[in-house]
Amino acid sequence: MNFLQFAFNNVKRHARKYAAYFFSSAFAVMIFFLYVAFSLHPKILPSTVNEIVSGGMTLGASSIVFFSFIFILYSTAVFVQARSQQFGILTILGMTKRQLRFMLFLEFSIIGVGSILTGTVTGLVFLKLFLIIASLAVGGSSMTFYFPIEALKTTAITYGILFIFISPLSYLFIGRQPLMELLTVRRRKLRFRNSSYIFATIALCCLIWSYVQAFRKDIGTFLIAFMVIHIGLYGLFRHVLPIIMRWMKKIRSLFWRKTNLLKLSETELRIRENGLMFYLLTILWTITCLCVVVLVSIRFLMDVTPNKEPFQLYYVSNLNNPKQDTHIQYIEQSLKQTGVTYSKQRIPLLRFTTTPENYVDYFMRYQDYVRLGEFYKSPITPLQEGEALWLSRGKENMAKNRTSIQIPNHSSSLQLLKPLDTKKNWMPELRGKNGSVLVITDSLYKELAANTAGESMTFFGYQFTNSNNALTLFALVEKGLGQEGVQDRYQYSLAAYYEYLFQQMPYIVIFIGLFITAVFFTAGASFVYFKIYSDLNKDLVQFRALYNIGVSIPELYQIVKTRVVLMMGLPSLFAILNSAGLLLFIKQQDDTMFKWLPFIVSFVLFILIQTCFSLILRKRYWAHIENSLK
Amino acid sequence: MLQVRNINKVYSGRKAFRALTDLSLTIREGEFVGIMGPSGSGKTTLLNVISTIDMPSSGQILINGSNPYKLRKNKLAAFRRQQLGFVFQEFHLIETLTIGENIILPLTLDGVRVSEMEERLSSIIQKLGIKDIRDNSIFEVSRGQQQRAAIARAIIHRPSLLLADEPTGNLDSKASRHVMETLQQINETDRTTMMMVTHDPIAASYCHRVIFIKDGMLYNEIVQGQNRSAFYQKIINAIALLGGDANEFSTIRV
Repeated sequence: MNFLQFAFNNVKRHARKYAAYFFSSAFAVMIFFLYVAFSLHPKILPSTVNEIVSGGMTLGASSIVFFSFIFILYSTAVFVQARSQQFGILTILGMTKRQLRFMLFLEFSIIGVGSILTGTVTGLVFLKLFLIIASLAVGGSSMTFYFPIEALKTTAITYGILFIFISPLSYLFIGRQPLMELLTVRRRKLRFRNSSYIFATIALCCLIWSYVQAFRKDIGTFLIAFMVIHIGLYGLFRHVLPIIMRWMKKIRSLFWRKTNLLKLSETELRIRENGLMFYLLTILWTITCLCVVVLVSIRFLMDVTPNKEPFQLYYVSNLNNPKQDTHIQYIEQSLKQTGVTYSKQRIPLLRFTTTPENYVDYFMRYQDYVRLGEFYKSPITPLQEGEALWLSRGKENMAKNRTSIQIPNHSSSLQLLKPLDTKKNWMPELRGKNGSVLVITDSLYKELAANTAGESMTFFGYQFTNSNNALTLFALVEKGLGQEGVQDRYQYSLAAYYEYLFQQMPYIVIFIGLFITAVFFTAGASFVYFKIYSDLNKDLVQFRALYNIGVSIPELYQIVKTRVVLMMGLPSLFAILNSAGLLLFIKQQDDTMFKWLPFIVSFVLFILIQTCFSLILRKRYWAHIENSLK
Repeated sequence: MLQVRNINKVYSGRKAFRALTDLSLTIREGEFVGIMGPSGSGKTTLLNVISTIDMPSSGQILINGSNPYKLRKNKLAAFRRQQLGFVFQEFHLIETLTIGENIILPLTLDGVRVSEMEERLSSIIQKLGIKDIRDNSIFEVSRGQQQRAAIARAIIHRPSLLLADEPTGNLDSKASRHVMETLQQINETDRTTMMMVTHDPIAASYCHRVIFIKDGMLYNEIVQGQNRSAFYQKIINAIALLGGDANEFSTIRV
């Protein structure tokens, strides 16, 4: 047996001890590999030319590397600590420090190479799976599988370097300990750090005050609450909950009842020991929960927007606009140049400021409306004298309740009708206060055209039938016509520009989002996993002891369940509370931006994922316990 | 009280191993029996089989006339915690609980009233002399105290049979004597039936009767007369006869 074989056997024969460490490393590698493989995907790569987006991608990648470095470092520390006795024995047997260091280096190299291989191979499998899911989630053009050679290279190099750095660091964890300490596995004395009532009160006040701020509208105090809540949360786990547990333990009839004795005292211990971890998990999962909300909201927005803008591009020209013809020519030439096919609508409009609300309204002829109806292949609404049909609702929320309007210099008022086809907007909201488009009878239009209070204008709308180069087109048009918006004599809108961004962006936004979310989710879960598993051997002895003195299997299962539910549930609960508070506040600031449905969907999604995680965790952990009892 | 009839235990595996062969023994009510034998003779297997932790391959065990192996798994747990008490070499106290809480654990699992638990706890810690450490964590007390707490836990529910697996194995001689005196006292005052597996001839000398096992079979049996030190000599002689490992042969410490 030479030295290499020794190191190899060490790893091979202690497979279970190394397993947790190995899998967590492999997992980190897989996440990074997937991320890189995605960002280099041929469909995504062209859209990352944008500086901000590519910056975001790099940020994402580096945060994943940073996170996995911390994670691997943490698991290394736990792992090395757990093996300190073995190091002690080896030193007694006469292994020099250099050999010990070399052994560690070899071991970590073996694990490193193994986890890079496992990570990339599973990553390839998941890449395929993820691409399918992503195409389903985004809808539309499917992302095809490709073999990511670049990503393989990047991953191997990054993590190769990482693992090379880990082994000297791991040596630091044991390097300073005297031999005696290594050899005697002294039972770690449980630290019962005191909780103070004063801090508990302060923390509770901070927490409640912060949550109350979510119901008020003051941005300044909310920002303060944003800081204060951290004190509250940390204090909650560090002081408040231990005190509550202590109180609960004082109630004998509760504490001294069945497995409560075990459950409560263990819960108290876990909270006391892991206060900081609970706090970190809460923050981590709050961010995760918010990520989910953003993702789901974007997904919902994507469903809503395509119907919103009836014309991807429109140009409204005032009567005396000298540049009208050149502009229209320029637009159509650009369309042709970029290869965008389209259909064009030309509609004369009248603009009035109507009373009583003083909104700017645009009027169009019934015959144009009929023409549009034929174009849309939608039912048209018959129109009587003295009525106006509401084609676009307008921007103002108040305008929903309008029933009749009065046109200046015109005797009779007009009753507002809603069209039969309310699902689709036929005309965009135009510039001006409210800016809705209304249909009036041809005769009334003729009458109003002579009215001097109004202005007559022409609307040119373009509907794209293919829109591959829409982004280039928009850039081109913007260059030719100047800034989008209202000019003196004309207005034009790349109304669908943002819509297009939404259709192109999702690949980036959703992928980055999905990844960060996935990473955060699993990061938290694996943290809990590691926490629970690092004590596995000790726990096995304890469970064996409990079993021997006659604790039944279902009762043991209860204890395991309580443990996992506590570790996963407590931070998740506060994560949801935090995000709910934040969203509530945002919703109060801007009602239109967020809707309730995506919120609820996201929370349900979050809870579902967390439940799945804890179920898997519990099942795996219980399998270990149950095996040892047989 | 306890009847063991023709017990066989075979560990199957790559190489089948026969741990117990046709072993029979009887323990009467209120008796304190020691089991001795060289390493690997099947002492602990016997104890495990009696304590229902392990299944015998064949044969019958009757505790108070009932056969625990006919019970379902969860009933078995209930049987174990009502009828049997355990003392381990490793104490097996629960780290998260205080000494007092550890002791009442079997009662809480059975759903006994709180007032009764209080009563029994205070009487038992009085009796075993661990009253002062009731609210200490188990890391704050000595090993001897831990073992006495474990004994208190094993007898608080008044089991019909107390099983001890090397209760003095992890203790120094002074703590050992204290623990053994405690066990003897419980045996005398409460008439609790006890069975103890041990390596230690001094510990064994506290028993009424010592049964020697070799290679999974009954080898010998000696009964205490009037004198404990004479009994101890007899045990030493029996061990020498048994030809166990050298480490079985403790130097005379009395």
